[in-house]
Amino acid sequence: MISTNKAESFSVQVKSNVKQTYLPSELGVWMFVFGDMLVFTLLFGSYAWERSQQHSLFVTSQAELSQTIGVINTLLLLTGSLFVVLALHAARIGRFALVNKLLLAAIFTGITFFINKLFEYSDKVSNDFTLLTNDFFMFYYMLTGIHLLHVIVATGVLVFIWKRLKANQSPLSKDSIKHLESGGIVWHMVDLLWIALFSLLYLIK
Amino acid sequence: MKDQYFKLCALCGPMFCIMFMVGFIGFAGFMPPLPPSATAVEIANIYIVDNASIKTGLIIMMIGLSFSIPFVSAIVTRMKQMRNSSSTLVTTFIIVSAAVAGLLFILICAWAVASYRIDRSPEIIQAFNDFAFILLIWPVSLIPVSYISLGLAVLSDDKNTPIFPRWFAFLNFWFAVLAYGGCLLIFFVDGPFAWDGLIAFWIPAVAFFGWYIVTSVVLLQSNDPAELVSQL
Repeated sequence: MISTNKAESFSVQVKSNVKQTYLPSELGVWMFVFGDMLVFTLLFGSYAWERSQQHSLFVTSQAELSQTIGVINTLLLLTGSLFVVLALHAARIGRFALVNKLLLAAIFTGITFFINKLFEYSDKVSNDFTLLTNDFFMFYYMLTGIHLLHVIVATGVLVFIWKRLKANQSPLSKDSIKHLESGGIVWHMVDLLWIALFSLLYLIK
Repeated sequence: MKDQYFKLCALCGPMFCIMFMVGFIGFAGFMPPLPPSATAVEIANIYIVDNASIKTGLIIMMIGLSFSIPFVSAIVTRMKQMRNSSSTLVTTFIIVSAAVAGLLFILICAWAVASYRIDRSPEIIQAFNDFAFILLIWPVSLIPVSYISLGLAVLSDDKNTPIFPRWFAFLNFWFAVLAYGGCLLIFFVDGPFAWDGLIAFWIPAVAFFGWYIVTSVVLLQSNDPAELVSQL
């Protein structure tokens, strides 16, 4: 009995918190996002350390990357983020048909990013730059590869949300909005990480 | 109908961690891991010089491993009690956890083989040492699957009276991400992605043992739904 009371008072407490400050999505998603960014911080840190150790090698290897493809990928991800934001907005004002279309558009940018990345990798490999060429290319493949996995997962999350919303034709529930918010947060994180990656690998001199 | 062994089983997780670490760090001296870039003679020398303490460490690890199995049972008990309990996820979790226990068993055996006949050629000692360390860090096909199946089960539980807190699901997903850090280790003998590197060893190691600690706390704080009903 005591523990039920505890659970009840806890849920009341949570509800009153929600009234005070609205937390988009849920606590767990934010924990995941910050945890993930912590891992990427460590990855970026070890890249920066290696780079400072073998500076000239990294600079000459960096010149082999195509900045054009990098810019295209940046634009794709940023556009995807915009679509997710617009979808969430459309969901909040109850324009259901628009939500579906915008989500599809965001999913499309994710898939295009993936295809673009595959072209970039095959171009690098055909020019004999592989994971084992040198430390720069080791980091290049590992960092962009781990990031690409994130893009795949984030796109998968959007597909999952899109399918759920499609099946449910009634007005959007609170839960659906929460799901959309989670999808948006994950998508923005992938975006943010790419911008850091893009500057570290392609731009920094 | 109180499960009187539940608490005991939930405490087996930290017990496994403590014994494994005492064996691994305290006796075997495998922390930091023996470098993959070391030559066969260097590796063989470590096994010759520290032979007795490595063997003692292996025995402690081997006995400690037994505690990981009741711990899995405690988790499975709670997974089955979840409101929307998915038997598919429970089965996945059981299969993967059993496989992980088996793989830990084999890798401790591989270290034991490396330390067993130290008068044989160094290359053979090195090969078994490689085998053990690769088994320790590489099995991304198993460990993340257990985290993901547990996480999905937590998410599918009833939101108002959850057995585990929902953040625990996302923590499991995060641990899964961390565990993938070692997946390319067979390409490297040094650097952050080799088996003694930051991304392949240190982060997944923290995640692996951290999972046992966090999960056991969450288990001990969880309530048996049947018990709650009977108390009302």
